[in-house]
Amino acid sequence: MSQDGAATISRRHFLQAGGTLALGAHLPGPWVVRAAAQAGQGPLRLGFQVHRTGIGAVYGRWYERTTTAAVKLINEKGGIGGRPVEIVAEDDGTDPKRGAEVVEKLAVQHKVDLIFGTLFSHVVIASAPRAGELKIPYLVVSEGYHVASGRLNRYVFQPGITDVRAQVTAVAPWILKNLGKKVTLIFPDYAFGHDHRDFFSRVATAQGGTIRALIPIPPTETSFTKYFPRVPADTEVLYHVMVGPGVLTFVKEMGEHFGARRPQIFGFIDSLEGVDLASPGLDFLEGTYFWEAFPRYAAANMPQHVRFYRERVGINDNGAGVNDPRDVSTFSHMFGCWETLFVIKRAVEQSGYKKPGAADYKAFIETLEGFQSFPEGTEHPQGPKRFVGRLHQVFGQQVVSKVEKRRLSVVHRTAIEDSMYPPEADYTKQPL
Amino acid sequence: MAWPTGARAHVGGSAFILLLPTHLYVMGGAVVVAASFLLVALAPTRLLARAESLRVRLGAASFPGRRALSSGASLLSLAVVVALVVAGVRGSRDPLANPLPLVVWTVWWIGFTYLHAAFGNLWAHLNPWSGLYRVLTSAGRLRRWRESPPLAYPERAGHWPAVAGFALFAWFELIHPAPSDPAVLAGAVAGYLLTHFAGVFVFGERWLRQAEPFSVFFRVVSWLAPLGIGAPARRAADGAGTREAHLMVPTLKLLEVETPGLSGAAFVLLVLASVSFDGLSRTFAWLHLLDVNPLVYPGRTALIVPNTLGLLAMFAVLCLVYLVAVLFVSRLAAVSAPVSRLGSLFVLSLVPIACGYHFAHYLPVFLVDVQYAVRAASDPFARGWDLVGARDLHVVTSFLSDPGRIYAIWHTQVALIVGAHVASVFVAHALALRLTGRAAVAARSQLPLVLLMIGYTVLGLWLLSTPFRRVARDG
Repeated sequence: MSQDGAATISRRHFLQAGGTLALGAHLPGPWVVRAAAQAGQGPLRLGFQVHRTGIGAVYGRWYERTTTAAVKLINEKGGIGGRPVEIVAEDDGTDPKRGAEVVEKLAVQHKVDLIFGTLFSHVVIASAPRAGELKIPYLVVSEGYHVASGRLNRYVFQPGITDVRAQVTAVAPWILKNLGKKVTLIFPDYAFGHDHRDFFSRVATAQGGTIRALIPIPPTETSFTKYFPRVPADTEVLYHVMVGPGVLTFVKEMGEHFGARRPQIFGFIDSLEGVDLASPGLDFLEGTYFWEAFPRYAAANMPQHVRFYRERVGINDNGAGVNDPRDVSTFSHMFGCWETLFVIKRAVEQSGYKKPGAADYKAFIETLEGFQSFPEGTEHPQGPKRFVGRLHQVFGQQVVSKVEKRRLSVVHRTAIEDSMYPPEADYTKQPL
Repeated sequence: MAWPTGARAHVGGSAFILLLPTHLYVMGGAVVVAASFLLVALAPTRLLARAESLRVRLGAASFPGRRALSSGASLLSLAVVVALVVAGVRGSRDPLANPLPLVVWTVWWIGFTYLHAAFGNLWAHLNPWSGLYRVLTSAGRLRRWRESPPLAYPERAGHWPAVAGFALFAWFELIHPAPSDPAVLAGAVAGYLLTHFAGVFVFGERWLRQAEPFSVFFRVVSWLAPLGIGAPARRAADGAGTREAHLMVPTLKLLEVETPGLSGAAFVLLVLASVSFDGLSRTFAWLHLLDVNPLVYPGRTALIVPNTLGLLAMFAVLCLVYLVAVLFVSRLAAVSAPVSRLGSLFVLSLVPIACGYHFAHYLPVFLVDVQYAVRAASDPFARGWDLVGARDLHVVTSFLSDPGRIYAIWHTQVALIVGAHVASVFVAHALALRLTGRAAVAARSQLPLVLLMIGYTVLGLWLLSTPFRRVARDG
């Protein structure tokens, strides 16, 4: 486990935290009091279900670096409820079946206090029932709509990252107003693409837009030239959410097809997370727009807490690693680990959570469900959040950025309200 | 309504490679291999013989106590393995922080293979069994065990136990859901260690040479090494004697070794099949065949059965194709040697291909994971130590995402694969020449094997250029 320039998590940070506590000299603010009051309980052990190997490894690596940075900061400031945080990482191989096993292993064998960190939706969907059976809080950083849909259970939360439905709902009005009302969607022909197709179509048609064509592309496709002629000539906006190794070819061939006479183009940065926008094949994206959760490229006017977050995680102005400037981060997702850890901190401290068990978990869960908002700042650098307890889902601002000189520049930041949709679930009615 | 699932199949190196005119590389590779065959076929025999016998003498030295040194190295290796197993059980649960998976899958399976191809058979000294066996049987009643082991290794068994062992290893590496899980791997390594200890104690050290898969594997790889050590002119009691070190043309040691026999041939084919299947099983084409969406790869668990069948099928198809090629060679060479002998002779020419594909296939993951291994070595038991000062080493992972580095690695891979096939063509021709004694017949008889090699060049380059799931340690 590591972060840029930092050491291994687990015991090491616990030891460092212990050292800091012992010194006590630079422990600021109210934490000192709580640290003194609750010290002596041993570390708070957080199970980190991480995609260390398998298809999710690139995301897993940045999730781990961000987690390490957040835990280091938390421990420097006295831990959670006065207890140093110890991360117990278990790799699930981005394998749904192993995901469920890892949840069990963390809960039963390692006896962690809580579990967090899962990203890939199919792993979340397979692991969440086990967390529910074991009655252990399970905080995912997945971006999927599966939490807010009501499909999971009372023990599963997503308090650190917004879901795809909210993201689409928030940016759709801006697209219709600023880029055009006649939209053609190009999307990979499986559930992820279908979500965009369904959520975007629903919002866009409700707001006076027209869906000119829906163009599904098989997930294993590597040449896209035969699909572009199906884009109707009067299309004003091309909305694309291609992912996987075909993306660069997709962009290149899109450029070859449309040339200078292109419609407006809007995409989701999921397509190019971890990829430098100055990469070969991406020239055609100049002047097009992307959804981002958190602006990858540093801006001169970014708030101090954003600067602080980037420094602590070790991210340079291009969104790449400080120690490896060619290693572009998954910037629009990984902040979710940081923010989730600070939500855990707040919920543990407010609920008085001490140790695994029905009573303490009840207090933790009900406290978390009672949260309504998180202010923007060091703990929530991506922006202010609203938390909907009945959905177990957080909502936040979304960002529209434009590709200018092979970088992304923010052109619009939505309000939190723009992303809210009618709730379809109420987890608080489920028994604990 | 469709439930949302993961979107995040990362772009990875494959995306940049798709931008290259890869079909030209594939065709170019095939042309180079075909041209190298023509060159070898037309070259004067004495020129080939000169290349074979080319030696650059590096020096000579005698190693008194060489055997003790070898045993010491083996004992040290045993100590390291035991420490690694302890780390696997007690250390970090993270497979990229725990030294056990990093040493086994990166340093040993990939790095040691590179070292063997450069320096020769190190595993003969670094295996964890021979040292302890020699110490325990050096005196007293057990001394007799060494002189006459309880059971004689059956001749008929050949290398078949090694074939079976390597098949299990390949299955564990490629198909088991969690080969990198430190606890799972600790159990596997401990089991492997004990199994072969039992083998050595029952059958003597011959067990290692014949039946331990990696003694066979690393010996086979060491035949590529340009470094040669001559046998001592006069053998001393302690294994000393003056030995000469020399450099020779890489891969030509294959022409000096004993024919590996049918089980040895099966072993080489299995190695080639398993590394090829590792590549194949990651391609979108394979996943498409299984009706699996590669962008939401379901994980290893869901694919245990089809991938097991795929691995077996790859081995079976490769054996069949090779057998057919050898049958044609037999007919064209018009020699009286039985097909089984030809099969076990010409399999030597496949060794460079198997190793070349191994080197190319694992290169990117090696470059990244070896850094994790160095870092893990600093704190093997997750105690907060910093033994080699690398605890805070930043692991450079952009080998997998930066286009400049991806292209550099890709061109290296292409060169390795094409180079390996050219070497194979040369070795096959030299073997045929020896068999038939006539250049024209030798060249003609090689046509079936050359076709096989061109086909494998195309397959190898296609596996590297077709869309694939990232080659990373996986599970």
